[in-house]
Amino acid sequence: MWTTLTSEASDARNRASVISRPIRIGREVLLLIALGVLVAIFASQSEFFLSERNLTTILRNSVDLAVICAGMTIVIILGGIDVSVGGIVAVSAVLIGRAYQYDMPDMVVVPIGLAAGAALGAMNGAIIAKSRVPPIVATLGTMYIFIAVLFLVIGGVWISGLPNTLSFLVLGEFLGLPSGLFVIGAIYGLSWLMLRRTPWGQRVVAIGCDEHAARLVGIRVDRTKIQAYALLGLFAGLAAVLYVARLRNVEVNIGTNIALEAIAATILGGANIRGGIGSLLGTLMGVLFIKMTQNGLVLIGVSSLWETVVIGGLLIVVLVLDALETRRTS
Amino acid sequence: MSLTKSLSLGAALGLATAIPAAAQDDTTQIAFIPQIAGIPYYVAMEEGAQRAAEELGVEYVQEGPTSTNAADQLRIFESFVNQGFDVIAISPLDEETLKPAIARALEAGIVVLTSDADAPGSDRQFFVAQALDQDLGYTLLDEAVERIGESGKIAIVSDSPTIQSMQNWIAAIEERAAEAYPEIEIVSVDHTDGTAQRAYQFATDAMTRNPDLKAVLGMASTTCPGIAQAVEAAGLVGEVLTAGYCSPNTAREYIKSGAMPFSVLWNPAELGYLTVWVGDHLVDGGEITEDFEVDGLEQTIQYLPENDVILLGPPAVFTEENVDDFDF
Repeated sequence: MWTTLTSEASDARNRASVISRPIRIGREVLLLIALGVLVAIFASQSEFFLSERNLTTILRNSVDLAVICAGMTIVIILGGIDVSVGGIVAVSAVLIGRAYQYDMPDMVVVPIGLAAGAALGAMNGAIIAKSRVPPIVATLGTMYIFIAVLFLVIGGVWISGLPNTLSFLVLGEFLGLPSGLFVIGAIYGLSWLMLRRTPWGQRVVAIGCDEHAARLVGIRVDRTKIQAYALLGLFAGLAAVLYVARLRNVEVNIGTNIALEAIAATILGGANIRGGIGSLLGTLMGVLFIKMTQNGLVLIGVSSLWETVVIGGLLIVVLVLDALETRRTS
Repeated sequence: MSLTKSLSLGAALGLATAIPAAAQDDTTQIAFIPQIAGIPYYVAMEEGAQRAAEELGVEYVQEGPTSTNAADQLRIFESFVNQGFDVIAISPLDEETLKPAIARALEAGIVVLTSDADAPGSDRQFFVAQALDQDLGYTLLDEAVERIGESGKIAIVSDSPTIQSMQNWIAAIEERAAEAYPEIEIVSVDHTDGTAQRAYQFATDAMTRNPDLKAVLGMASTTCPGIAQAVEAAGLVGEVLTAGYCSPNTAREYIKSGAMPFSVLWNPAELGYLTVWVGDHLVDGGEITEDFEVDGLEQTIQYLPENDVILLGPPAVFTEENVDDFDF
């Protein structure tokens, strides 16, 4: 699957991606090795790590992050970034929680969550596209606003005891497999089609490679940007739906760290923070790396405080290797 | 020289504002400044305090900052001083910020108490405390052992390691286990980022790692729904007990489902009641030198002379029988 992605990507894009292709394969192989080492360490130290139940647990814990990361990959390929996704998850989750409290059915609640996420994402996109404020700064600003909204709406109180009518999406089984697998498959399949099989996807890549050139050839850069951020927002809204479905409450700290985890997974997976390059499959492996680390450290009895050290350490290794590679080829 | 001058000036100003207010109205005025306004915990405290105020015939005002901001708290404190309140109780966010203001208030003849949290380095007269960290730790483990037996593995899930009170509770639990239940083994202590998801993850992983795990204890209300849901999702209700320092509102659903048979904390309404009672008592010229009884509270109130701490009593245990009596 990966080779298909790569060759499709190369065909669809300009020379920048052709030059960078060896780097990405290197990154991909590196991540595979890292995952293999990780699995070997955890499996040798804990008899439970590779059990069916534990692998299901890892998958279930990955679903919301994976969904967000699909959108984050597209935004990073576009040359953007969104540090406010945790805030979008939080605001969407609060609206979902409130809607449930008013006894609204799932078929109303879910669209509310998705629409809220898409609207907030579109707002980010509009600010970034129209004001030309660097995306990291713009979304930092909106993140503060989203968190304030969360506090203003729920005032430090948890919304709890929400219905579990949708929990089958994460906790259930379908065709003998965990249902989360199908959610992830659907989102990544859809994202891949949009990114690699539509003119819209080509525009995203073109803007990420060279925004100025994209403008010159007549691509409507602002509109594409707003759409990409809205898509990420929509996925964050979906993640909020899945989060509430699984945990049945909305806490004041909801969304903490999720932006950092999403960006880390995407960069680990081979996306270039300068835009133009990225791989959905690699991102998925990045998600798996983070969630396996969180799970495995607990299973082998290492303090969870080390988790961020492992993830941060690998991130630095990956980025340094990438920088060295770039220097060598250029 | 100039320092003395400004200090006495401050005292004079304080007196000048305090006297007319007191002369105006004979009703004792008691203020309490929580760490943040509007959260259910402090609302519950206010209800208890208002009840005491009505019974004692005093006036009670509660006003806190809208975010946990020490400068805002100081501003509110000083405004109560300037309004000539007889008693100001505060749950301090930052001791250093408040120290000079507390000293000035005392010079102005105002009774200054800390309640809910302390500023031990300040000149405050008494700290009205909810429960001792040690009692909280011991009670949680004792109640758990009563249900799971005196041997077995227990996992602890806490919030951020920067929260000192939780570190104290964990230490107390470990101390109690070492001293009273040698067969109880604390297998892990994990720290979440405050989200239910991480608590859920840690509890699930602890159960995977220890198939014979007997209990998961949550140190913060933020951890409670997550650990209880993890046990429910694993289908282990009745086999793995969860419990913790959880507000009744966060624990209620799981107390009823049986996943979390009990929760340990204190009753903020009683804390508010006691705070007002102590304030009124001191304004009326009363002294506190030993344990005492309060009309309206069942338990004997302890006085701990070494730090001038007035202790509400043992922690409260919330179970299926009483959890619906509380709303915070």
